[in-house]
Amino acid sequence: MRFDYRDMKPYRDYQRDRMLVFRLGVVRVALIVGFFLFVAVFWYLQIAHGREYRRQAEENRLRRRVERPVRGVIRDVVGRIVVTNRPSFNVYLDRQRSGDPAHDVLRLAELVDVAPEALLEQLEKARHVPKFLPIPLEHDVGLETVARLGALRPELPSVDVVVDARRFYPLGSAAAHVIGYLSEVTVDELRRREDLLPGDRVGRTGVEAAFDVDLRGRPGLVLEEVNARGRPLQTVTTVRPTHHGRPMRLTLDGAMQQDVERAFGGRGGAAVFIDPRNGAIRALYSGPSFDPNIFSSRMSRETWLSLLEDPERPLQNRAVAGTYSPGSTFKIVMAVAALESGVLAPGERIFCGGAARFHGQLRRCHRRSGHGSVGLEEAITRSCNVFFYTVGQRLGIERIADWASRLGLGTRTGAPFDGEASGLVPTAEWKRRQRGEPWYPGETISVAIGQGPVMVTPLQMAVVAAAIANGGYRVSPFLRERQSGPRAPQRLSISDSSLQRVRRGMIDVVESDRGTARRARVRGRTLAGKTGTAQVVALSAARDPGDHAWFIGFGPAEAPELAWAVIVENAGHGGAEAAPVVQSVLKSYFERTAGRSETLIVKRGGQ
Amino acid sequence: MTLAPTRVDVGTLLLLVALGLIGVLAVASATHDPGRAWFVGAAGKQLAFLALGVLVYYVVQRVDYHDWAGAWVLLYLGGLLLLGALLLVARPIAGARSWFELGPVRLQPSEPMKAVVCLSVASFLGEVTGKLDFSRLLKVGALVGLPVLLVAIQPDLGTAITFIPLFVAIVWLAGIRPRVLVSLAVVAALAAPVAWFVVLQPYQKDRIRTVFDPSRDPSGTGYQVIQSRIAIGSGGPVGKGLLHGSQSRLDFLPAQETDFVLAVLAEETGFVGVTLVLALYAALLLRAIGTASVAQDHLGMFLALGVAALWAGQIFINAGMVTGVLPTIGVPLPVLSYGGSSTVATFLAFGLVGSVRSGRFVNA
Repeated sequence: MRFDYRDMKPYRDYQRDRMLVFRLGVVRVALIVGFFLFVAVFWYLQIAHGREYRRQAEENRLRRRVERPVRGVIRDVVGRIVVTNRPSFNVYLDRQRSGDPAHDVLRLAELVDVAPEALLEQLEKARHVPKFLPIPLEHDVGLETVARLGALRPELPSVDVVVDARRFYPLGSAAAHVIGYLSEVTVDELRRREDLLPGDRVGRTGVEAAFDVDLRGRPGLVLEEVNARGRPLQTVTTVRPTHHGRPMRLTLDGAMQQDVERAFGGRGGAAVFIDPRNGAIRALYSGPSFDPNIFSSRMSRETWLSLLEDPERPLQNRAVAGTYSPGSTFKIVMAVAALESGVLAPGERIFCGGAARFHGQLRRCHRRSGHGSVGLEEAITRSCNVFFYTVGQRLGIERIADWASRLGLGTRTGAPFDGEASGLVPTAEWKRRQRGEPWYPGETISVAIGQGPVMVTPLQMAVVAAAIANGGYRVSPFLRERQSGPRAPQRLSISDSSLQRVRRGMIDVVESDRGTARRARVRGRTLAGKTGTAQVVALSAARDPGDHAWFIGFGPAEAPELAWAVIVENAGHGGAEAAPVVQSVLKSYFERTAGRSETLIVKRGGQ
Repeated sequence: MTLAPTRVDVGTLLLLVALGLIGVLAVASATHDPGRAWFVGAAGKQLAFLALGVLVYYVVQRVDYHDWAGAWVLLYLGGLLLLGALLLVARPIAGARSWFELGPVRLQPSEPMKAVVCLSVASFLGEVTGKLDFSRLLKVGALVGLPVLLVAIQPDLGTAITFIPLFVAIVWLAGIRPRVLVSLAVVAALAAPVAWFVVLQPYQKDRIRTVFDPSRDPSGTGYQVIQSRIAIGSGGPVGKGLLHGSQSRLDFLPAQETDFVLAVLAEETGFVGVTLVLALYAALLLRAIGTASVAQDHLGMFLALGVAALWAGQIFINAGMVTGVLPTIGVPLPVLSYGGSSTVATFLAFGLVGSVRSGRFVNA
């Protein structure tokens, strides 16, 4: 049966009705109070604390991202790339998006199987670094790791794989010292220098160090909008534009660099080839060498230590930091000093009987039977000791030192290499200061043939050879094209006639049948040079390391394009060991340049 | 069946439609995809739900509420049957068996059940005079409790909880003997620890703890609350403008077009917009209570109050959740949140209220 309320007799309990109206009133009031409470809550959030929440929303929305510059590519004098960049996958931690960086790092270590200590150390290193800068955790990871990290991204949103540019050195060990390498900034550098970011790689040696600031560029800073999952959606503003590193052109000849390495065949020593017309360095090699590419990827501690502790010291750049006794190559300096000081009468010849007594001491020539009566040119050609003993005795140490210094010995050339040695040009004053003893005249006789305390670097000897080649200018070696050396070539006021005589002697060193460097001859070209043998004091009788072989010179003699200094360590006589190095390098150089109408002249900028 | 007088309660309808249209804008903004037109997708569907709701409202309120009340047993049992069937046949979505799936359409029976329970309780109490004694209280409790139980084991605790304000308000209106009230309080005090340790899932406890300390778990439960508060607070006095809320646009806000739609609105229209929405809701509910106070009989009074109480509960729980003053309970904001069942059920319930209002001069 259906029941219809309207059929009921209207019965009204007025007291109850009043009660119900009252209760409804209470509900109405409760409702109004409730709404006002919520209005108050929204007031609290939006009006009272609106600014604070707005800031938090902006923090959510925006992320500061550092854009790393790409390091400049380096080309050699013919435009061939000698340093370039390759992509490398690096793992970074963005602490802006990490609640607990240490936790994230440990989790990462677990997942990609690396030592957690190493990662924690990286984290610790960046303690003083602003939080918006991502910090590097792992370098140069493989594609497999990249894929694995991609899959883990939801779990570790703070860990990014970033494609960075890493250095690639196509010349490898052939130009390791002159080009140099990079390594990661240290904590100390990060604290000291504001232009460096965590994970940055800084030039440590060679060109990479010398022109580091230009090559590196300046990082940019952009403000970008990200969504809740950390995916960047758009760039909001560029706070600071990115300046990529400047590409660079060197005076270096990559092919020559490779030829030098091939000619050295793994032996120790150094070779410097410069353009005598302006001082442009065309090749600079130090052996034994190393592959600089190992510095671009993950290098184990063992590899680093083995390089560092190798008794052959492969990391040292012998061409500029190695100091050697110049041996007979010093006779070039002696010849110039003698001619310019007028200690030789015109056309004077000196008799060599194989030995002579100077200051009560018998001094031998390397040729026991003697050279007979020799003039200056022949003394150079045949490297007669007695002739130069005599000249040295007449000059005295001060005049020798004066000319050696003028030609650039005893001071740094100013070439853009850190750790360049200045060598040593001894004087009486030097000995008094250094050893507290007077200079003995007998020492002058030793210095006259490049022995005794006089020490030179291969680069300095190349500058000496260049001065003879270019008409008496001391050049400052440089590496960057369209940039001169730190100093303009300095006129040394050597008379043409003196230079002619020295050159004639040097040409015969190579070209005459009595010369000491016949093995440097290149068909069709006239070369000039001077060999030398730097005596090495044996530390023990049992192990004689052997003397260092020198060969300095220039060519082609009539219009010199190259001046050089080559030293092969522990190899023996310069004519036998160093001259063939030059011969093979020049042979291929002349072959390469033969087709060209003009030779590779590196123009000097500025004046 | 008797038709109610032809006067339509236009005020209630206008309030609902106004809120609904604001909701469509908010949903459109929350689901906006720069590559697509505005009213395709969720916003377009929500607009369709609104139209359907208006139709339902008209039909429901045109029928005399006494006729609806006459059918309460049928409606109630049918509702229970559907809720029971859900547990047997429904596929869990997001972990709960709350929806029937008919092709692309999803129906949530617990939503219309809210209106049915209001009708049923009102029908039962309409006959009763005097304060509630223990047995009547138990009967009312069972009327409300049975569907709550079925909803709670879906599990959809949020919907289940929204029935509590209805029960409280109805009991308050009917009056209760002090003795019964005391024993009820004792039972509640005893039940609370049982609920905490036995009934509540760990994630639910988490949500409750988070209210007191949102930073406790900033990436989990607390994250939603913190991001929601940031969204609301960053809206400031006048908001960032539609489509310009970074918190919603960049997906920092959870469930933006459904449970957290109020946060989207707060971010984009600011304090002004939120206050307007709250005022519209207040007007809607106060009008329902007004309807209760002018109803021609107790049935109408209980029906209008029940609907007002249940919907007030939903609104406050939702607002409390998005502002972080209450635990995160998945309750949609009526007609503003995207969702067909909830929207249409709201029009249905207020259709009943409209019917009470239209009939207020009859037989007075």
